[in-house]
Amino acid sequence: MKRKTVRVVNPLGFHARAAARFVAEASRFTSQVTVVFKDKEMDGKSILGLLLLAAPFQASIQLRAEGGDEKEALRALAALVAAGFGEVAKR
Amino acid sequence: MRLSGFAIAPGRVLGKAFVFRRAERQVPFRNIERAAAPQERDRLQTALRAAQTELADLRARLSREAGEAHAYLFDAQILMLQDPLFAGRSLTLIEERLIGAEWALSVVCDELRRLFARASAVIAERSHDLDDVLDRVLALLGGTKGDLVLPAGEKIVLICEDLKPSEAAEIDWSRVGAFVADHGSPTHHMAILARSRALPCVLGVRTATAHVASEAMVLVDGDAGFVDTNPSAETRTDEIPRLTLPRPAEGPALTEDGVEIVLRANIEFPSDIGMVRDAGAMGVGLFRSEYLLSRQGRAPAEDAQLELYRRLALAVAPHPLTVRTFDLGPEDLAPASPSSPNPALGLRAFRLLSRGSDYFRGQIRALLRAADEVPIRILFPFVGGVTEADEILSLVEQLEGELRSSGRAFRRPLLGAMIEIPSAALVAESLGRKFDYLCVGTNDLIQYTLAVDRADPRVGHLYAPFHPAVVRLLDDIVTASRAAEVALSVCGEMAASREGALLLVGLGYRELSMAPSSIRLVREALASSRLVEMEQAVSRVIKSDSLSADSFACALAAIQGAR
Repeated sequence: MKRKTVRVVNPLGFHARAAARFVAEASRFTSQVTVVFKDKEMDGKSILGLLLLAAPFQASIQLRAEGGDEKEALRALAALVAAGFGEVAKR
Repeated sequence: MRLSGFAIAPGRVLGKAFVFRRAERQVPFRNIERAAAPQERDRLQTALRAAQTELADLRARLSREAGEAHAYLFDAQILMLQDPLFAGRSLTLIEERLIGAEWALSVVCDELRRLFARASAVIAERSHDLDDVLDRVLALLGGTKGDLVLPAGEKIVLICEDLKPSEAAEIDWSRVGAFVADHGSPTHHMAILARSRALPCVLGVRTATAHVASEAMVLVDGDAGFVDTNPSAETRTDEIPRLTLPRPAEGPALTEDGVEIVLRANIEFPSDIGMVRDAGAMGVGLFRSEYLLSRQGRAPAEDAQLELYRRLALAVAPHPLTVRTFDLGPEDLAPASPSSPNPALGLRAFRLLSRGSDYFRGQIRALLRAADEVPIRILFPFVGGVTEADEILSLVEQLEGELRSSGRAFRRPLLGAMIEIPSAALVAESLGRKFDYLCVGTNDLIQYTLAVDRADPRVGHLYAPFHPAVVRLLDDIVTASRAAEVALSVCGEMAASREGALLLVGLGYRELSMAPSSIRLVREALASSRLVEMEQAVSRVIKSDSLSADSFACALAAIQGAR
């Protein structure tokens, strides 16, 4: 299993649009994806699970991936979160 | 009385109010036998799949009309439909508690709503999406849908408590002149919607639906953020523009070099008929008659259908009303019957002729009788090849025989086959010799040609109307129709986009049918291009393996730039 901790940088946090993007991205991989925030641990391919995490702006979340393409999955998902789900203006 | 709220989008208008009140949600409770659980799960799964398809359609429409940025609301809802916490849990509950699908869904939603409320205020707002999804699935399980049909005539001021994304997508916004809601704030999706459509808008008014009745004149001030319920007493109304509908262009659309292209409208409900004329469409190119099937398990009465077809056709005469016969599945014939494992490839439409003959016979008889008085065309969906064509045509003959011997007046209208299965596209010339016209249904033709379910977000991005295979197939159909000397048209979303319409005309299509809301856009796109340019652009890209909407648009722009 691979894990990586990332920070939520988009101002609205893990809201509906962000969660939808995350699930779409996670679903491209066969690995099981888990997202951990505080004491909550949710399936990264479940939009309702991600919404229930309620991770706000600046939250530190841990991503876990387990399976054949765990490395690629983790890299892609961490990049997506770090890029603010494409919502943060580029400087 | 003056009601204040957030000033969301500027503009002052005076107009007639239309107050939308949503019907109360009713969730039927049923216990089921253990043996019936698999069937109940099937029933729910079918509804969930159908809901995904509906949402994918709404998403496409919203992204076309309001921009891709707003379409994500539907991505979230489509994902909810597949979510283990929603779909998976509901399916499990059916089996564990032996309850009907409707009740299982509502139990799951209650649980999720509680969790959402605890998570955070931002997330709690997502309960709206959840409710929206729930209502959609309940409606597909046989419940009733809220009625969002706007009255015909002048534009209205839409007043509601709030508007769910799916409701917003179903509204014909060309009839709305201003928008007021009890709930909402500057960041609400209703605000985004109003701004993107440049509609004067006030949100968060709290008591608008309580104080305003439909038909009353109200003044909406989107600059200052208020609504006046009795405007003449409180404001000088003479300088405020009154809502009127601009007269649409009529007759066929013209390319810049004067070639006539017939634009017709696709409609789903009888209440859509007002939009057809308002949009300047030349009649209806596709009436999806399935709404008549909403009473599951019983074929709609022939005389009632006759009355409906006659009324709709009169409303668009002298242009035709094209009625597509029921594109039904086994679940329409008997609510409890298990759906096909893969409904898109399963028992559909005339494949059910032997089991659902009441449905087809009643509908075709009604259409033959209506055609005696009003301009009607019949369109048969899901024709796979010549064998089905012969079956359909011999059924029509048989029904004509029945009508003749019972002394009823009837007339054979134009009969058309829908080209939406690749096999039909490949034998289009043979079909063209049997039917009076062929109508390409691009949505399904693309889905079947590319083996892509566009409701599935994991492969939806592969749904490509401009895929070289699709465009070449569309080209072949034109060649086939010319060889068979048969009329040809297109209905499907491809005809509703700028590039799609220009490509189709460049390929040789001269009749396009689309959502009424797209007709103006397509009319304008055609007016600024010459036929010869569209044809040149097509011939430049048609052999290209990297053909896309963009590459076609670029080719066309390059040709037009060289004028």
